[in-house]
Amino acid sequence: MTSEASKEQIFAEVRSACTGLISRIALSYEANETLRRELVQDIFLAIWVAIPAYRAEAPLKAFVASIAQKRAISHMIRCAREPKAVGLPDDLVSPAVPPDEAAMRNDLKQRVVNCIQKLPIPQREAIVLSFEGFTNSEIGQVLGITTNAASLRCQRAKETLRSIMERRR
Amino acid sequence: MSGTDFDEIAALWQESGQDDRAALDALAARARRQAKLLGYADVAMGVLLATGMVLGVLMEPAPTTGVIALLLITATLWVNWKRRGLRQMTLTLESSDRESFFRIATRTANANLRRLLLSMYLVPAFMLLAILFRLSIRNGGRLDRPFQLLAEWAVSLRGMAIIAVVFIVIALQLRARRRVKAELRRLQALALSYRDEDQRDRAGSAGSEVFPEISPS
Repeated sequence: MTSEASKEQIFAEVRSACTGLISRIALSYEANETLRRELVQDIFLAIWVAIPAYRAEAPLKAFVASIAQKRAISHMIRCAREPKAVGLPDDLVSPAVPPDEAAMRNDLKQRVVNCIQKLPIPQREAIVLSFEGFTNSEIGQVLGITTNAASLRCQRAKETLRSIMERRR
Repeated sequence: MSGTDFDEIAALWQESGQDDRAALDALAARARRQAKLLGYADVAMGVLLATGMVLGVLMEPAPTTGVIALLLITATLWVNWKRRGLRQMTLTLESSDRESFFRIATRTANANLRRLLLSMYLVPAFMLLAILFRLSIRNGGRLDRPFQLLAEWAVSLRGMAIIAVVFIVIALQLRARRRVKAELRRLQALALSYRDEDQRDRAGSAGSEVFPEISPS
């Protein structure tokens, strides 16, 4: 049984190492900034609640991703809104980058996010984890499918993403 | 698009969603506080119920008692609602794959639907019984002309206020029921979409078994 102290420790580790992952998973499901922040808070709450079930030998990133994906799916089911294309804030790009390059890069990022949000959810999950650096084996563990199935799903997701991005060019 | 293109897309993805770190930390801190408070929800329920019983025994009926009773009932309902939400969330988190996730989520949604339907019938029935009970006490324990007494009560100020509250409660439950039904439909559509993907995964695996030299990279 996880003690209160170790629960705090694990949560602190999640906050320091997995905040970006949680934020991006939320972004793949919710474009509205206010709702996305609610979703992020909901994910953190779920992680706190689920920490007693966390086994230390399993990667923390996979544990966090699994919970984040489930809460995001629950959010989609409750809110039932297709993500509308929303502009990303201008301050995402480093100030050291020239303004025209920054604008182009920001535009590309926006396109990538919008296209990922258009993917069917099963493929969206797989490709987001792939872009987050998860191996096929880890993706399979998070999604509860075999490594081979994870590999196939990522491939199909990339094909679908390619066709969506080409249509939106 | 080549593998390099996808590497570039992955890099762009990694740069996205970089919300203000301080804001994200604040969300995490708020979630932790909320979780800790909800951890005391069971204790809070016990305290509320005990307080209600003690006050019910000790206090004389008066407007103040009514206000306190209303506050206690509201607090109890809110705490109960939060506890149930947390319990339902925990169930879905424990699922190991998407099939069990959808099974649990569907079961939960159906249970919520049944609970809403039940309370839609129980709330007016309970109110009616409570009103008849109160009317009978006022009439020395007798209820000779119940419909006439009810009609007289219904046109009184208090009666109209209570009827309005009951209608509002039923309307809110109807709205909640519509929302849960819509959630169930979305759950079913999503579950179907996952089943399709699983079938494609199996078809793809079978293909790679037949032609092992063309296994996907």
